[in-house]
Amino acid sequence: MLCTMNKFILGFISVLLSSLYVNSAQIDNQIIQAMRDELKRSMNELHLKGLEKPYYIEYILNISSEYSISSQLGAVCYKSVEGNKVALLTTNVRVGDYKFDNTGFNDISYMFFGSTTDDDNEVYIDRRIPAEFDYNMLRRELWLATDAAYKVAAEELTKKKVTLDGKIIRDTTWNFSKANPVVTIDTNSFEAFDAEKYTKLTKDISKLFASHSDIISSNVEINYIPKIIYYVNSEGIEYIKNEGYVTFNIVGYTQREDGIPIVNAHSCTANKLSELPTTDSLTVITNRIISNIEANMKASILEDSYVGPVLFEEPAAAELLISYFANNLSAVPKNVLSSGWSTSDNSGLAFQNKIGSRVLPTFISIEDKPSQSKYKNINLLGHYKIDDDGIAARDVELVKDGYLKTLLSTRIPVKKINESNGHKRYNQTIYSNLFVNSNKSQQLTNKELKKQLLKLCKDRELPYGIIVKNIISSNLLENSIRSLIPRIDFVRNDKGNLLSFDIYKIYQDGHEELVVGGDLSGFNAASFKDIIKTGKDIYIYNTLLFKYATLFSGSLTLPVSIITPSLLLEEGELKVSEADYPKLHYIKSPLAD
Amino acid sequence: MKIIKIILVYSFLFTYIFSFNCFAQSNILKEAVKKEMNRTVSELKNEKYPVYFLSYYITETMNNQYLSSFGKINYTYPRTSNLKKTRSVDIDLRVGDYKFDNSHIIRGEYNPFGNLSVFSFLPIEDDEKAIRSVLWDKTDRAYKSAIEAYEKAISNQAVKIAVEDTSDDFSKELPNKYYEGFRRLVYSKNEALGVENAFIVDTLHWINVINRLSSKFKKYSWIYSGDVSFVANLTNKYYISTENSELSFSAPYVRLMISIKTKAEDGSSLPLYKDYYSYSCEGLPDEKLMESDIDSMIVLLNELRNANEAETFTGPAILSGEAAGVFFHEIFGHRVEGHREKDPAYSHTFKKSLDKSILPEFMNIVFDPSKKEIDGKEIAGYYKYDDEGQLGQRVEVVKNGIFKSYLMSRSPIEKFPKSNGHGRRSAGRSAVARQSNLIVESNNMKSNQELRNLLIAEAKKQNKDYGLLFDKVIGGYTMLNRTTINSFNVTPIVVYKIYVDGRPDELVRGVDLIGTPLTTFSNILATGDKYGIFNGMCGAESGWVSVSAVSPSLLVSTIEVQSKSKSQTKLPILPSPINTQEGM
Repeated sequence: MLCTMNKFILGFISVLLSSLYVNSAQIDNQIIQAMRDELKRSMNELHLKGLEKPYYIEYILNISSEYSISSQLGAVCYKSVEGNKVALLTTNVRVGDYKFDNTGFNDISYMFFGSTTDDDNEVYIDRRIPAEFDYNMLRRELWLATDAAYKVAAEELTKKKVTLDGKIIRDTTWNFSKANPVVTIDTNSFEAFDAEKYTKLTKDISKLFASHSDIISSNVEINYIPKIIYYVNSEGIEYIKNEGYVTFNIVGYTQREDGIPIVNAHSCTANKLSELPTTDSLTVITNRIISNIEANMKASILEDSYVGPVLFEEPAAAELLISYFANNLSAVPKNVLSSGWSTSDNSGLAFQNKIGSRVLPTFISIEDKPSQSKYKNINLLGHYKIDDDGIAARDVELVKDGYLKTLLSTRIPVKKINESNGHKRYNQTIYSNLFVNSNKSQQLTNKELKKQLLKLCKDRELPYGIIVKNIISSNLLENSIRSLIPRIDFVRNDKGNLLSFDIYKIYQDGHEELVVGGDLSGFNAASFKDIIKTGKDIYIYNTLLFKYATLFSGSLTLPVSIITPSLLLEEGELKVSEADYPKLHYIKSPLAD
Repeated sequence: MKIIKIILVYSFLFTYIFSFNCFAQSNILKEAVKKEMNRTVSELKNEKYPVYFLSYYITETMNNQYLSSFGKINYTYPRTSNLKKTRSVDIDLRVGDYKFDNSHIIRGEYNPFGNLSVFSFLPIEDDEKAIRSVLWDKTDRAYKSAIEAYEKAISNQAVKIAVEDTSDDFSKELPNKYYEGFRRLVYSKNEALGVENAFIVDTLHWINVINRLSSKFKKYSWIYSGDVSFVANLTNKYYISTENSELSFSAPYVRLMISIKTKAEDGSSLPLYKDYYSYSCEGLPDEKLMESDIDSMIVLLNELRNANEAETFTGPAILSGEAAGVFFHEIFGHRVEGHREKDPAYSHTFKKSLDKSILPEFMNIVFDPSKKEIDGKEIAGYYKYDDEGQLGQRVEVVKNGIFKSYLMSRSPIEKFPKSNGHGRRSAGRSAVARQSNLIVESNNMKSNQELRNLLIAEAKKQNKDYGLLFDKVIGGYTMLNRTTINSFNVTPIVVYKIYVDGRPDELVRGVDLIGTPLTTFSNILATGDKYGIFNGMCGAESGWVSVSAVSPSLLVSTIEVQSKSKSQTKLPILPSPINTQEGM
């Protein structure tokens, strides 16, 4: 009886839920209207005596939910399927003018000691407000948030001026670029989350591990995060757009007799629930993970470090690009510091001053195409119409015939890039659908690529070559895997994020041998100049980028697509891993009973 | 400053999703735990370091939290804290022996007690294989870290000078057996039909209540935060140890909290809080009463923002019962938590005071976790068994002004070899000695009027124009900061001047209590005749635990206050955009 009732209620909730995310046009209009009204009042009247008025204000209201279910060995471990809506309001106020304003200034004293109080009512970035719409409530929140943001902005401008006083400023790049007013509505209906269906799915898939007592721990989880964003700024840019994704992760972990830890995992990420692989496909994927783990348990150990040609097959090539190349493609504005303090994080800066230089072999070009929603009938996760600033997404040719043409930009100018090309997403400057195109003359089939690899090895008198077939994504590593294993440094070197348990030696007779104990940390942006051939087939890699938490922001996951062929590098390094291994379990698994 | 981690749920409807009966078959869980416990001990008995003690503490938590701001539900904390139902295990695994084991203090380390217990979430469904698989993996981790800690402790002992306190590391206790069926949280009376001992939480009703209550703040433009939150929490606990203890019981509670904030003209932040606590929804007060409490809070908050700032003052004062309770909890209670006496890093305030006078002769202080209510009002520090499986005992810490005992967990100290049932923690932490229900008793009780007259007489004697009355304070264990053990963490928020010349009492704001807290004890002259009760959460190294402090009001001959540091941010520049009242 109870069961039937729950089914009924679940059905009802599903109906209700779908309506939650497609707010009626009327409510959408009222939210935007409340934002417009408070924005107008603030632009006209907000002013502290002796300080400048705001020249620019923007409001971003981000309403999201999170559904997640996690199961192990066929039993649910945690479940959050209420779909609670979280509403976060961000208010950005600029004081000064486009050329020189309060932004681009890292005020250390403010970050550590706070020039305002830590009162809840003075929060203006990610301010938590009720998600249920009410005009007066929203006006009240906007009023308090704008007030707090303005006071900080006005104070920051003064501090910035004082810091630069007495210096001849050689960098005359503006603080903010101008943009034309445009109104965009890019919404579609979100699918309701069928809790019963996905509970069963995670249970069924996780149960596949139950008959493998040699696998120490495993986890299967689904996360669905639908989102709607409302935006209004004082220049007349307005939008309402949907964002969000669903991800289905499968992770297994074990340890060999000799102590070497083995991880394998797979993440399926899509824009929509309906785009997730079928139960059958997930079963195939999971069985592949299990057999890979078991194969790794018997695989031989890499005895000597290897330097020579390396073939990165398609999915591995995509992760290699993500880790060492693509993060350099965003323009990074310089900040004025209130002290001699500088950021120690130099990752992603390799190409900042390289526009016009060669960064890849001349037969390779790279484009970022946010406008493209599909490739070969497969949906691309990085697609969007407008970015977070409301600027239309522009396709950008980043590397042409090996030479860096430009970088991805937002409305914050940098030297040589004065305007936005619509790449602000999740408050970052980041790529979307990154296409790696190579000249046909340098493309080979998989078979030919291996042949070429062996030829290169022969020329260098190497007994074997190395093929990397798969690399575990950083998002899986930092979230699902981290929580499953005793210590993350047992499986990865802290210098690099590349973790692969799909590394093969290939011998001259063509036979391949799985090896463990290899460390792929010896790559960097310059390594890609060593690409000598690419595959003919193109692979679409939809994934979530993991951005580490910094002093200024929490960690983030961003949906992107990498569209790349396999890459054959003339020179690459596979080191013998020096990581310490955990001791073996003292007692055998209860699953072995 | 965050008020407490309140989790909100968008709609009551969703709560029904969780009504599936996944915790009813807890026998599977218990069997799984027993099997892994027995297997671990027997398989490791021939290792170099056999396990001499192993316990599993399973905690199933069903949590419903909602916060309403100005009449609307405001969901706040995403991710793990929005999990309404969790099941976790804390594993206490020990190698060595009772005298010297892996919990031995490693002197010179930042966290000398180490993180002894290993914590993990468990499947919320009763699947023996899945549960045992997690228990096996985590027990292995616990064993490895126990060996590591034990070996470190041995070498630490070899290189450091001999310790003063040579007590055992773990107390020997008799086994405890107690069985109470797990309770189930249900969302309506209908759903409770046929459910034994159901904990009924009508979430729809309570969401409506908190929305109605918090909408009362909407009228006032000068109230910048206006929150009412509701928490209903059911914890089912199962404890088993190799000492033959086995306990099973439930601990439900509900709380309704009101929190409002404004600012004074000079930027000072002015908060007011009110908290109702009970072990069942029926135990919360009637909505009408809460409404009238809110009305009084609004009037008081308005008076506060218009009140004068207090000046630096040294002189007599009355602490209301509630304020005195917080005061004792913070400056006394944390100093009688026994395990700290072992750690050289703590100041051992009372070490030399055992059997000596530390308070006036007319005062007793007891800690009594077995008390569920006092004067018909429920108090939050109740529990049957502590988090080490020991019966919660009444402890007379101060008797007739003489310091008699510490609060004890199973970590013995000199002269106190046994636990008195105060080993407490939140899930994921190692238990240490913590407070329960702190009750201040007095044989020198005066009526309110008498106490007031005595205050005025004392002020006159000291040549002061006025004495102070501390009516409401917020302490480290309320909704603000985590307790800092040796700092004085009591912030008065409602303080009155009581003039000697008969002028009406004057509300003042911006007061900070300073001075040496312990000398304040010797300055207590008399107490009131009515108890004030403060229910709250106390946070320290072993996590958050529910506590209460019950005390009559106190008359103190000397107390020292100074002006409080205040926010640098002015009042909002523009008036409120909505049609609200600027004043009352």
